[in-house]
Amino acid sequence: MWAVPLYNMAMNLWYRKSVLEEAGIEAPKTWEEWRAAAEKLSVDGVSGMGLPANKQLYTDQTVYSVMVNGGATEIYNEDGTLRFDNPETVGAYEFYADLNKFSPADSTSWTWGEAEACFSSKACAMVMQFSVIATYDTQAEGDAADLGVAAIPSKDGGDHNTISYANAVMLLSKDEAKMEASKKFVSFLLEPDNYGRFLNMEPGLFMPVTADGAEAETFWADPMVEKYREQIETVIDNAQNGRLFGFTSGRTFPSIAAISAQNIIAETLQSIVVSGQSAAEAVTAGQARMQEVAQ
Amino acid sequence: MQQTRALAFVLVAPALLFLAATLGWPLVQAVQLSLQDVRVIGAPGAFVGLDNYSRVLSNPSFWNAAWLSVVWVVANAVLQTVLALAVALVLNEKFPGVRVARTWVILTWIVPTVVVVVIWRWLFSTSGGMINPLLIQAGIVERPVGFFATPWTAMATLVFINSWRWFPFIALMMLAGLTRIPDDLYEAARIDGANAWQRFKRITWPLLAPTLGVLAVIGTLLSFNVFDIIWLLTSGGPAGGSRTLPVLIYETAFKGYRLSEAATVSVLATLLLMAFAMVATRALDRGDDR
Amino acid sequence: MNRSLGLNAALVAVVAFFVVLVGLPFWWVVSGSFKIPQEIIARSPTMIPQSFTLQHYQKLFEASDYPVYLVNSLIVAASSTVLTLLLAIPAAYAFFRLVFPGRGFLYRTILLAYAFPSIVVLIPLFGLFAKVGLVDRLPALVIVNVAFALPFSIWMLRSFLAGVPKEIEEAAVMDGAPTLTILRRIMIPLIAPGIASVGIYAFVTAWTEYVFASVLILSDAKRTLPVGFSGIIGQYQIDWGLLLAGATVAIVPVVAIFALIGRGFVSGLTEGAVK
Repeated sequence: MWAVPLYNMAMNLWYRKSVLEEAGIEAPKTWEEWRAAAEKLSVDGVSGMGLPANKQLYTDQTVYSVMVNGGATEIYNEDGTLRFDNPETVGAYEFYADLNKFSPADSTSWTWGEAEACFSSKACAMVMQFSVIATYDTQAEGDAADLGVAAIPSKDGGDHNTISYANAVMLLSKDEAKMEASKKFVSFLLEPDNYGRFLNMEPGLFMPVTADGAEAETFWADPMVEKYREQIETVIDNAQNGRLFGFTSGRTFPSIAAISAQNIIAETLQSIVVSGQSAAEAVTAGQARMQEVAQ
Repeated sequence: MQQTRALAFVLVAPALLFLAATLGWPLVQAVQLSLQDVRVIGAPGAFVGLDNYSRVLSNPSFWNAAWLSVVWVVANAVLQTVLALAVALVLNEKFPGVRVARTWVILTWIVPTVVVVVIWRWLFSTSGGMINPLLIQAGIVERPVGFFATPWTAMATLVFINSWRWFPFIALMMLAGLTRIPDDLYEAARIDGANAWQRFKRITWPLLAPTLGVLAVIGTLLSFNVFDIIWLLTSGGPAGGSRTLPVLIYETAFKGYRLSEAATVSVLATLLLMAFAMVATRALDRGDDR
Repeated sequence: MNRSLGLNAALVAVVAFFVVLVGLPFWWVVSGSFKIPQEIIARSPTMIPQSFTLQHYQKLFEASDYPVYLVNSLIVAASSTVLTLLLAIPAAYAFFRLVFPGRGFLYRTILLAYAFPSIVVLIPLFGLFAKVGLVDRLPALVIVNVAFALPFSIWMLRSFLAGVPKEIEEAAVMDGAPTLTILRRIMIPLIAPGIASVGIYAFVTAWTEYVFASVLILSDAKRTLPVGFSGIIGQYQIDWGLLLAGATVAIVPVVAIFALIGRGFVSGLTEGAVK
């Protein structure tokens, strides 16, 4: 059994340049700026920052993206015990819940699609998403020069981190012939030219994981990728600092499967946003839930 | 007599065997599972007796789900009865287009559930949906309402959507009851000088009551088991606010990988419903036996 | 029957309310499916489309095998209907007319099948179907749908039979006709509208079923309409135009069928006795 990473997805902050200009602000770099921007952009029925608070994978991803930018990257200690309940995590949750106040009322039921629709319809000034390019191009104005993308702001403006998924092809087979055939297929796919074509099956969403792939002409030749080249280059840059919860610093433990299957990171956020607990209470309860499901 | 028995057996056996295989056998399996400790489908499990039951019964989320199921069933029953009764009373009148109305009122019931879900998810959405702008234009609200945003509103919205789908069916069953009330009764009452409300109270309501009773039982059983609408719209959220028993069962089995616990909740839910159904059908049978 | 003015006004108000409640969502969906994307997600939506496009339908038929899903759904729903009736009619007649030990108990047990959370059946049934090689095959769906429609069908048919005047049946018994002949020649034709209603009930149950079809069917070519429809709900993007087009296409066939036989269904229901 083996697995090969095929494409990369990383979270970014998306906005319209013209909207930020009109408000007289720049893309936020620190949490403070981020909150101020969200507040300033929340006028005239527009939500300044579209942030999900659903008990769902998208919220796991966005919350974790804020956590890694607030020094709460590690969920586990080196010995496999949980360290989710720490002041940095609490701080990240506090900030996230605060920022969520500038989101549409139904953000507690959002998945990826709602965030994009909100951004496209200009009901949200900013959203956090892997990519909004395809929706922006087909359903909104599709003006490449106006679409802005930035790294997720970090607490104090230092290194910007993000959640990142290297989606992999996995092979579970003992059959020699099948193994051979699959190997051939994957290496065919990873040849720069073919790889570019494969990634563009979903332009602007799947990013290359190989250095060759990022160079490949077929990747950049796609009309949509060409049109949004500037944004896509930024996205690839931002993905350099990708992290994934439960897979950091070599601290990978099997219980992360149950923790992500039950969306406990997102569930913890709901305890704050929906049930009105304090961030400290919710994070403590979240760690207890992680222990419970890991049994 | 011997012959009748044999014939009855031949006529009833296919349906019974079919139900035994498709519903009865799985129930036995569920009971078996609930006495073991099985995590995922196909994995072996040790016999643990009633451990799962004591664990489930001491778990607050089970009681919360049971409570929400009761809320769900009662709210659906009330809303559907009100809507359906209004429709049935109107369709029992004569007016131009009543035949067309009688046929097409059923429209919401024949649309696939997934489609119903997508329609309402879109209409209630804060970005692009039709309802929020209408409410704002009408001056009812100032900012877009998050219909699925809080436990309470999510539950209410789900009840509305489920009732929207089911009320026409119930309405037609009621209409069936109404059409069997003889016209002479109304004529006689009219001659006695009874007004519309008095006629409804003295004739329609008492004569319709048995039908309503049967429908209440059936509607309760049907809506208790509704899973797809809730799961597809809110997945039981937010913060577990719409997690009824069927949702809890699904979540425990397929998200939490605790098959035996899920089976335990199922068995408890079944017992609860069976108790209700038995009491209710007895009560109804007393009224009319054939 | 003459109604007072007030009653008439109330009647009109109630009818208008229900026309809006049922009709408006459908109007929004169908008209929305012809709007361009920018108009669909516009912050001030339009009641009457300002634009016209067929791009969503084009995309729908390019991106998915809608005709295949449609045929699969029709096969499953029609087979489920036939099988339900074949099982339900004899059983209902036996429960209605014949005296045999355990009748009351069995009848009640069948009704209790409704008390069974259908989600519970999912896991054991999946195992059972896997053993007999029915996973990813349409007959599996037929079996499930019949199981869900059968109890209610038996119950409904039994009350239709109860609505047949006793004298007709007694006359046939006096003539010495065998029980099965009475069922076939006299009772079935008499409750034909009732049978049509039960048939439509079974059809709609199968037509709208989603959970089991999504679990038991694995390959795209065997998907039913509801599952095929959910397949066009993208994971990362919501293309409302595509979804509205998909919804419209999913509604049309059943509306067409209903336009042909719907009247029979309703009159069957209202004429038949539901006790």
